[in-house]
Amino acid sequence: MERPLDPATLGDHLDRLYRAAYALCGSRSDAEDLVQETYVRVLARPRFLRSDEDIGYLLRVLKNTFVRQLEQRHRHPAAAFAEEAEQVEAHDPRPDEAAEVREVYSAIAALPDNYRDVLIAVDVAGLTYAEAARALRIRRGTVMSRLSRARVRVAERLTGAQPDEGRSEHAR
Amino acid sequence: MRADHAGASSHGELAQTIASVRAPTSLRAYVEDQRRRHQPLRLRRRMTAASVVASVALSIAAAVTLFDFGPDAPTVVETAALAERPSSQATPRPSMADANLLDRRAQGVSYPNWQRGFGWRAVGARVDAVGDRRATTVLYAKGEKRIGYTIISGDPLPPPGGARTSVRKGIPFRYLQRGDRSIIIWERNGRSCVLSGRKVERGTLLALAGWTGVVSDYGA
Repeated sequence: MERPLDPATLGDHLDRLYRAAYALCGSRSDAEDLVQETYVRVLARPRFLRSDEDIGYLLRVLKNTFVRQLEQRHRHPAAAFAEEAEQVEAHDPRPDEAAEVREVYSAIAALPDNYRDVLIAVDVAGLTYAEAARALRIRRGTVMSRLSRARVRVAERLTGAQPDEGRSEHAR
Repeated sequence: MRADHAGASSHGELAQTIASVRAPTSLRAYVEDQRRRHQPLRLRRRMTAASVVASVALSIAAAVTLFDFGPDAPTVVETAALAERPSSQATPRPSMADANLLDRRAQGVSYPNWQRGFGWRAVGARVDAVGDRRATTVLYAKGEKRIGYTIISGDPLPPPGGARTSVRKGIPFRYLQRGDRSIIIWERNGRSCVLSGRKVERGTLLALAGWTGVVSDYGA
């Protein structure tokens, strides 16, 4: 049975959604943009959900919005300012942000899509394996195996260990 | 992170680091504002058919008065009007990495720092919903004059009806005049950008819009 998504409850998921966006983008400012865009899309018209997993639904919209933004950027090559902007983002550390936090989120953002999505759903957004499987529309076992590999890759990146040969890093 | 899949202690530390991140105040304020805006939807459903018809008629009359009803003009003009609204977010600062840019971005595009070359300084910012699009505006001021630079999410808006075009470095800049408000619309990185201000010369806005941080652009 479907039920309407209540806009009044959307703020309850903000921290988790923001963390997920940060882990997707690897940048706080882009994450803020992405979450705002996600809320605009969700609130544009009444939404009806089949389950009580609002956060799972919001994660799907967040991911779709992120993918759409990437596609648009690829369709429209960056102008001079935009290219400079990317450089600024990469070299403009915020003093109030711990280096450790930046490193962790950058490591997650650099994962291949499949691994990153699972790690975001479980470790960042806090879904159980079953919830993550429903949100990502994959099997529970697939969630577990991808999560395990994703955690290893993040740990390798954070400790400076070289990843195994033949595993291509995801290029955003 | 849930206990049923917690791993080694290092993994627990990683989870702590992840969970230490909180949404910024500006984002909370934006979401709260959006939530409040969407609450009246329930009230609207209770309106009688007659009041709905009356509201639609009034809205059409207002739209005709304000926007001339040119093709797509309402969106562009409505967007340009955001420059008149007050700042609701922190004032962007010059970027530490590039003095030609501010530390504020929208849709992957940075806002320019026009203070050094043109004397326009950033004085605030705001984020609004225009239809189903998100509009991020940085407000600039020079003396008594004020302009707004808005970047719209989603696909570029179609060129507004009745606009004239000025091409600089291969980029078409559309120019509109609505009363004493000058409006420039163009694309950066696949996004529509709208720059507007009251009693500001068209040439001034074109020079600002066309500036890419290159010194030779200053004299344009």
